[in-house]
Amino acid sequence: MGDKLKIVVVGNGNAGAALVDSLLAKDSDGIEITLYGDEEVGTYDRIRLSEYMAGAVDLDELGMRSDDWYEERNVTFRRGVHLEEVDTKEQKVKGTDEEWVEYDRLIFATGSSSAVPPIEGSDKEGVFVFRTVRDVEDMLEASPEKAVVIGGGLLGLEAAYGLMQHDSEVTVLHRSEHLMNQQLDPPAGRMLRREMEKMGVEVRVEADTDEILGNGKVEGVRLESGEYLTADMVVICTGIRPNSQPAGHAGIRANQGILVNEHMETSCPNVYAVGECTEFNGQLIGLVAPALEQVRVVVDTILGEREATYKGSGAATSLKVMGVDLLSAGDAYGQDEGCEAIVSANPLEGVYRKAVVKDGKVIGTVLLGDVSVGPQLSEAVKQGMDAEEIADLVVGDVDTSQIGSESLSDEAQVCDCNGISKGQIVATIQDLGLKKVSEVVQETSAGNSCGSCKPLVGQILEESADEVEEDKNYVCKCMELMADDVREIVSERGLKSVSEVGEACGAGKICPDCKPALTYIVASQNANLHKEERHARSINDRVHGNIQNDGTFSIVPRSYGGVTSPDQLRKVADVAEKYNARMIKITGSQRLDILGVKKEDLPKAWEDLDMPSGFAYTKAFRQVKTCVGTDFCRYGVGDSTNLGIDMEKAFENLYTPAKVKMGCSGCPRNCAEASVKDIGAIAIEGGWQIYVGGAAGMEVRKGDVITTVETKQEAEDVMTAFMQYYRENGQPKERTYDFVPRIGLDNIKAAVLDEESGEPERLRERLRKAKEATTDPWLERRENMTKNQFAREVGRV
Amino acid sequence: MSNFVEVCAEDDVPYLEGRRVVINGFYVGIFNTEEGFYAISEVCPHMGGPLADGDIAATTVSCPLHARKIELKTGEVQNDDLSRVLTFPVKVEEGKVLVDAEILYTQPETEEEQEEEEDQEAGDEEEEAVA
Repeated sequence: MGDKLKIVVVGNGNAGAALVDSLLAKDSDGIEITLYGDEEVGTYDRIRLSEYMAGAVDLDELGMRSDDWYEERNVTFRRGVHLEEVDTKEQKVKGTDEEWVEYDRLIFATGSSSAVPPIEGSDKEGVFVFRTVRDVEDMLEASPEKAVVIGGGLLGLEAAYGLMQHDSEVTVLHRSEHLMNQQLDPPAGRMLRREMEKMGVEVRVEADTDEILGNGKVEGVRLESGEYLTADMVVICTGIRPNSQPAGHAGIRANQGILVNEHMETSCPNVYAVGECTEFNGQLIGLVAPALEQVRVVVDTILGEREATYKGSGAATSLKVMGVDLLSAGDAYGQDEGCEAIVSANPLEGVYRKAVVKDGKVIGTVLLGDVSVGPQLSEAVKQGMDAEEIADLVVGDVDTSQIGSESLSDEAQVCDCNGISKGQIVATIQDLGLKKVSEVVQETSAGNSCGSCKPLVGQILEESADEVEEDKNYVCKCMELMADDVREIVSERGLKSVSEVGEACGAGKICPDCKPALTYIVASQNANLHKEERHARSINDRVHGNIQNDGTFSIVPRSYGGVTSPDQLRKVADVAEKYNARMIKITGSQRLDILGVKKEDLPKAWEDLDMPSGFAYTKAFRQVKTCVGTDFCRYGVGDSTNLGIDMEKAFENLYTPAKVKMGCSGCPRNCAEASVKDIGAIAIEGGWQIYVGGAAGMEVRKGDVITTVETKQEAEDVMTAFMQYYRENGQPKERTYDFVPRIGLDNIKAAVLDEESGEPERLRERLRKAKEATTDPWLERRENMTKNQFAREVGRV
Repeated sequence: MSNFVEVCAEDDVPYLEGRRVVINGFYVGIFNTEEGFYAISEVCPHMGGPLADGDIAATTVSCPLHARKIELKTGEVQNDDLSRVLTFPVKVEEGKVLVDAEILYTQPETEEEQEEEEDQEAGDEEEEAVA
């Protein structure tokens, strides 16, 4: 042990984690690593913070590492310990755990903090900075109604996006005259602003914050113009400041950041720094790609030949801000003398492309809305290519499928999030004989953060692999079976159960992942007269509730069309009290959700409620959201409540490939949001407009109007035919918003509207037959389907 | 040295499903697979999900919370870097399921056992909540 090189790494953000990985990869036997990390959580991927905030990933997916991970690799992780003292003479450090640790090599990867400007009132409760997991958690906890985000740079927009996803009203204040003025030129910044406003975020530019007001707690923000905005939260995202302490205190030279040379060496022997805490040639960095480049260099300096050098960040910024793709590299403005710009803009579609040219060479680029030519253009900036070579990419009608990746050099960066070059990808493909994009993503990490480079990864694969296999949407990955393969096997051989499917083709025998999908296929192919096997359903469908993070379940009873009664409300209240529910929540679909009921209490709770299951826990028809239509509303032109209730009764208890939500609105004001439901009806003067394939969840898609009909009966007929068509042709887990574009609206119309052919009526007949074989699953409270179905435990010794 | 104790009847656990039993205060999952019965600690090492509520195929169980897949024979987590789940010898005799859970009665020494101890505490708290 004593002979090993003792390396101390301070900081466990992106750079620190990458550093530990690279050191271990280079020489895991000859070194002994101690890692200091002052956030309680382990390493995580900070570039995905805003996704975490938006609820798209959980902490685990941020790439947090367990204590075991470190232990197995012989890394001493001083979790939650802040480094306080550095003794560069004795070569030892001390943290808040008061223990001195000796080092042979010390590397700072302390990152950066938010630079909080001296705004009066920034110490009030409700003022946050957006930087770490802790900030995000605190912010979400507070769940503000009205938030003001100060700073319209990358971080500010990410914070705004996250808050918007949590239903907060968000205003972004930005000092400059256009958003992201570090990376974008004014036209692109203005276009980005319009895109953001379309999404419902208010943007104020040239807005200087004067003071944050409130009596202890934030109540509002006053601008220098004197304008006052109310807010119950203020998020400060006005830039970053390198964390150069405690290096600075120990006499290691620092300016804004810790000063490093091209080998990432500091002014002190055996002390190094990488990432956002550094300053190189007066340059600070705020992105992952250059930080990873620095990591590569420092590893070579310490464990290698000391040949690699860092040349400064010329790398492109490639980002997805609030769902808008953008890329900027080199000089985005082009205001120097002799600069010209090649520009193409289509503000209607939010697409902007620009290349800045000086002396015939490309020196900068900005792309917004469509970054498909990003790799070529950022490469052009890096190489200083002739403008003529790329002019067509900027102004031409670019057919992205025709742009090859041949034009990229091996050094060209393909994945900006993880800093992966084309050469690395090609080498990995060839070394491992990869054939699928998913394999390349897994092996190289290219494309596993924001995913925008995946098409390019696909092209590189096409070029460099001997054989390419499509990533198919298999139902059973183990046996590589598609949904249609299984449907065919089931109907040809008359199979009645998932076990029989397993015997026939092996699906669901090796791993359980596809069993719920197989159950759907077997059930729907047999019009629900299949042999039900509960082991082939997930726990939600075995006990008819939605399992929660603590192992308890939620109960959503059916209230047809969102209409309830005093009696039902009383029962819901009683049940919630009697079984110690943790919360009653009014759901987005006009229902009541009783959360936190123990499994063993479910049958009793259902008995007390005496209401049918709302199927809120599974891939099935959910409910119909309605407005009060003609019964009450003075604008109503159609009885949407009645139509909604009838549809809900027609479809209840039916399983579907993925969940199906419906809406019925009584007039074009569309209060029931029917145009963003899987199936929707909107009353218009003299009839109903029928929508299919809408969504307002993880995906947002406005439904397509499949037809306009005159009577309620016709509306019901069209919706029923479409429902069955989707039940028969949808891939398991495929929502209608994917199904409708995949099949094509014209094909769907042909199948469900052509009454003369008789096919729509046959579809409806099959749906009615399938419906007949169903019952309310909550009746299993009286007659259990399996032994100990709801038991908390079956033995105790 | 073995110490098999009867924990439940064979038909208490439906085919290809799991159920929980409690041994000396510890949650143990009993799984009825196509290769026979298995018994492992019932608490998922990822986020504490109830493994007896998981999905089973061959000799694996998937946690119902985040689909961490555990090999019942070895306790290994197949799709994550997590510590191994404790496994117990199990046999079926005359319609009864017997588990050798000697280790659950000994003083904790190893880390795994310490984790089990924590699980037990969590279990006790839940019991109090029920009472």
